[in-house]
Amino acid sequence: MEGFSLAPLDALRLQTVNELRACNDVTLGFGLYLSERQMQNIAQRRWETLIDMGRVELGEGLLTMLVLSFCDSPFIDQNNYEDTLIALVDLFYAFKAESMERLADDELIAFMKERFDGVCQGSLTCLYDSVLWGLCHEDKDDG
Amino acid sequence: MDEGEMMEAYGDGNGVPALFLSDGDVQCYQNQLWELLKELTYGFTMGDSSSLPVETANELVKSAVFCIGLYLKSRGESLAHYAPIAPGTVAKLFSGGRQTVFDQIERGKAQWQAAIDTAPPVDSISYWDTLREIGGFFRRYDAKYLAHEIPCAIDYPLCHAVPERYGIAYVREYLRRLQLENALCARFSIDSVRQLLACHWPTYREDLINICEPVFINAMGLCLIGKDVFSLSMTGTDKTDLFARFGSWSADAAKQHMQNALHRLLDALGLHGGCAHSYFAHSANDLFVRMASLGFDGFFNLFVTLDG
Repeated sequence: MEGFSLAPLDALRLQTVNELRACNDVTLGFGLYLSERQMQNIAQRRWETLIDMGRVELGEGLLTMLVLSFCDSPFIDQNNYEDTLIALVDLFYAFKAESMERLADDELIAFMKERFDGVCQGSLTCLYDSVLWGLCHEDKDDG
Repeated sequence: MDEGEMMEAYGDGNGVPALFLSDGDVQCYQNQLWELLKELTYGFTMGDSSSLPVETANELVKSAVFCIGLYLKSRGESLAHYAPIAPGTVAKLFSGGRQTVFDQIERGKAQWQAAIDTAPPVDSISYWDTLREIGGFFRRYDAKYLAHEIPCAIDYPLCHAVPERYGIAYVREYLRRLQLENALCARFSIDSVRQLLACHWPTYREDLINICEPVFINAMGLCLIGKDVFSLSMTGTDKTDLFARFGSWSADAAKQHMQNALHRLLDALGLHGGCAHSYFAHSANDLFVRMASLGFDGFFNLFVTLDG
């Protein structure tokens, strides 16, 4: 039995755009807003990341959780909002795989936010290294 | 449920049901399967994760399709019975399938206990390890999300291996066949069975050796020459006699003699019923093929002379 095909692109794109559109109402208060073109771009990049990571997106609300967690970060502004969101989606799925599914979505996002705003001071490169380090040490602590 | 039946339910491996469904029904089926997968993912991850590795999603789908196929088979139906695919069809079939799996687990447990109760008291390591493993299967089996898996090591070889199946369906069929073999062996004195095994394969305790097959072969040999099957021992003279007789028969006549011997044997053993006859008819056919292909030496070694 060969691999199950990923979610239909159209459905995922629509879901992503709908979530981001709803988030705009909240993020506007933090000076962050996504245009339709940007939302479509994020949806496309998300699809590509899922393919690259060999994952299937089956639920709803992940984008909302990410956006609402990070929208108050002092290191995100309108200039870097789209790119940062794309990077956070990439990193999220990478970390899910690295943690071997042991971390719940909300736990992982909280961990990422804490590191992003804290020790990483808004650096995505640092975030990647820092979260991975944290995951590895969590492994060791678990024995 | 064998792979062919699972594929009939699942289709060509890409979520597309095979045969007899229109393109529209195929699309409906896929969409509903997708919705089911979303629900299963929520349950599987306890709501903790909205995404899964493709491999894990695949396994959830296989499990769901196994359940659906098992349900269809239990009702003598196929997906085509439900064309055009109405909303909620897949969910309904899956729900029925899950219940079917749970029912089969209970029946499987009863079969397992019966297999233990009827097991020949022969100290074959693989036999008893396998029964223990099957006991572990019922503890480890994830009927909700991985119903197609067989989380145990079933090493003891049957006379006739179960064709590829999945989950509880495999285990139940394995136990069904094992019980038939147990029933045959139980008709003979245990000392004769042990002696026969020791003469047939001295290291039978440690090796992966089927207990029933040499018993059946000797019993059939004795039956073919009209001797007492319960002795279980073919002497050199008996083997020579059988070889001569077999050699004098045409192929059709030999097959007829084998069938008749099988009837007499099962009758003598008190093994009535279609299941036993069907299973051991397969054994008789295998024996015929072996006898027909062997020269004298091979023929001689096929049957066992009990020492003393």
